[in-house]
Amino acid sequence: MLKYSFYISFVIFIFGLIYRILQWIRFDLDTTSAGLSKIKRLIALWESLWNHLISAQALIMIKTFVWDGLLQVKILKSRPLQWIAHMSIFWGFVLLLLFHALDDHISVWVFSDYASTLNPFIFLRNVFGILVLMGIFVAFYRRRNNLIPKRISQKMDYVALLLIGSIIISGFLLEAFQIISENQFDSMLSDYMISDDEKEISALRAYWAKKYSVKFAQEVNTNDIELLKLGESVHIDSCASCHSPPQYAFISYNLAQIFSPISSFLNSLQIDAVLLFIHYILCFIGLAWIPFGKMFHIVSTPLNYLVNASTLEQSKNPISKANASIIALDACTHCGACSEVCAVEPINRIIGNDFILPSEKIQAARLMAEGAHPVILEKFSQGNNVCTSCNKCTQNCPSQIPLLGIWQKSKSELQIKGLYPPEKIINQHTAYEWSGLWNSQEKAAKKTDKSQKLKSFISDNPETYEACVQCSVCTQVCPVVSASSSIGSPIDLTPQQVMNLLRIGIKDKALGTQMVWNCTTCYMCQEHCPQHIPIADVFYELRNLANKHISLQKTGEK
Amino acid sequence: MQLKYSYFPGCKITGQFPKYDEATRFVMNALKVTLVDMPFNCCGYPIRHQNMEASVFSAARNFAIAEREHLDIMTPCKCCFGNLKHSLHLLKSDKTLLKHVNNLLQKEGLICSCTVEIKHLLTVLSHDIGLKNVKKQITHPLSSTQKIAASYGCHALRPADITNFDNPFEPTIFEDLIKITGAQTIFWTKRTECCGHPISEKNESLSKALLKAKISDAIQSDANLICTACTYCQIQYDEMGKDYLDGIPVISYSQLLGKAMGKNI
Repeated sequence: MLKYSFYISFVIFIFGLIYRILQWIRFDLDTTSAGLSKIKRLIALWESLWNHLISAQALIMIKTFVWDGLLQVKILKSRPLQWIAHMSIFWGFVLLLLFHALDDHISVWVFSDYASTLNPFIFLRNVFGILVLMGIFVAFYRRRNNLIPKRISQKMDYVALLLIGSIIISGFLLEAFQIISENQFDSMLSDYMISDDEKEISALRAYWAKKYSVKFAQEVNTNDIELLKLGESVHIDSCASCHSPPQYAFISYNLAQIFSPISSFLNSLQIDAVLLFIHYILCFIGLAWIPFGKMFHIVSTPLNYLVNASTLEQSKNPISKANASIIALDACTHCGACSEVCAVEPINRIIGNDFILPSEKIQAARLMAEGAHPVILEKFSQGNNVCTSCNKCTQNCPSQIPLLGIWQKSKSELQIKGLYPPEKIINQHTAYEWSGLWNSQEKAAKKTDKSQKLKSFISDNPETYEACVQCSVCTQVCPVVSASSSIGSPIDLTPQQVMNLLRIGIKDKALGTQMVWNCTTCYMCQEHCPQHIPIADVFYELRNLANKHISLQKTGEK
Repeated sequence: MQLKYSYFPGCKITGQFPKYDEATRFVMNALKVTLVDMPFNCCGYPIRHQNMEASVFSAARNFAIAEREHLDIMTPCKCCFGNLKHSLHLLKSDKTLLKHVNNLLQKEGLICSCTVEIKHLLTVLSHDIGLKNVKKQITHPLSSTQKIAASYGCHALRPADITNFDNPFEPTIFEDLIKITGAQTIFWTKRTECCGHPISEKNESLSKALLKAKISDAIQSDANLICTACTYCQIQYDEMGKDYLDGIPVISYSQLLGKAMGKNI
């Protein structure tokens, strides 16, 4: 049963791996890449693998793999605590995998006298297990308690931690119940005990009950010194070469002590066999899940390091560039390091579009590469437009993903797909047309929800313009008015005319005017206004309002 | 007493104008001013068009971070300066807004009490350090044949009642700082006008027209160098000015002062 479960999970793992690798050539971040032949991309992927193995690049690759992949020196420098957590999980798990899970193939071969129940193996297994659990605890704590990681953490992140944690905990429990298991003792007895002398067997039972904490259903006399002595000599003959004292399994042994009051009940349930099954199945689930969840980063992230390190790849022919950029998208571990330093992250706390945050935005970029739904793309576009290109995300990314490059590529890609920033959308209609569109939008909003009515402050207050005498000083000093005339496309309305629209209460006609949208916010008008009317501030507010209207517009209406 | 500021470089400087950052750190170090790097976020200027509340919150978080260390903010960018000043003004005059912002900041243990002061590189040099003290460090005075046009930058100058930078109509701070390097300054009418950067993505031709008018004025007024003190202005000259500049270099004030202190950056 377990054997077949393993085969099934292994087959899923292999096919998953192939599926993910094929996605690297199937999807494209940008339209230019989409035009390239898929066959050529597959060949390029293969060629590049080959070229790196046979050339001097191999040395760079080995160095990068060890330095960035295995030791993760980059994380150590920028985020020591996360490095400790990640290293604990990674190395604890890898060592358990190699020397415990694959002990029949590796440990036996490396250590001539290997037995899983001997020291130091029994002790180290517990050390590695607790290392993984500690790492998971730190990671979990960070995701639950730090502001930004808490906001971005998704089911997937917790499931990964939970699955790894369950594998380790089930392992500890399994070991604990094996220590106290009578069945385990009996089956070992029938396999390895040469003599079948009743007295020797009961002596051994007494010895193991006392020294190895096996809990027998029938009372065993552990106070008979003669019996224990005999038991010890039988133990030395038959068991000692493979069994170190269970105390060395410092976690499992103590767990076993906790359960000792109900041990006979647990033994009667054959709980050790049940846990063995659970422990194996969890491992198999983990294996099968690797290609489909965030744990795929154990493949894609090191690969991304290698792509970045390669000097061959930097030759940058469009085919390998297309492959590299899609691999980079897969290298994200959703750790959130980028979002923690993102310069516009606080803006998200007001606007509430998580696609402002790099860690979420990269998922949107991947969805776009896969051909995502327009609604997602629109949210992505709005989030991406907030980016100020400070590049902190790229500098802080432990997976070395060229994030800023992805945002810039996405920006032009989104425009190709028809998703323009508000300052471009506003040119699609005249101010008069916008006013009609937005008035109907407001009416619809009023019907459904009164609170949806868009608020404004200074521009709705008649006192703001009360003092305006239409002297046109604002227009005379406005550099936009003069510069637009100088290039032969005079602006639609002058600042003074916009003020007049507001004065007579037709603000809706002003929202989409070129004057409002081409204002450079130089504040010349406001500074020169003899009546101290906050003209530039009003323009800001009008743009705020128009932006809200644009973002409320449903997809397809634009 | 030694001067110490929390340094607010602004988002664009690392990517698009790293020399300004380097030169600013160099001159401040030479003048024995300590600049402390902090985990600041965006000043809120770019989002102000779209959402004033987000802009103010973004600025307020920076205030809270600086206030936690009891330091004033110094920025070399005039757009950052202008927006930080504007947000601080709004927060000081609107208690409801301040309370709302602090409710949000509280979640990460921050609080904005509006005690921070916002300074621009030029005001720090001119008011806090003092022209005399800056002049003392000038070891390699610039040639007096150097005729420099000071390009002011709108968001520091205006609205003057909020920014308190200098006289918005007849400012002198920038020219005074240039003169102590030994170079000459020229008067040009468009020195306080907009460089066009704020609309460079919205309307490129108009943005270029604004810059062109400015550059032509500087050239006609006999300038052989244009000096900026704002990351955005410099980016605008660098990206859009090539066709109009006629070989006239455009550098930041930190680089100019650095040169007068014997270091070419």
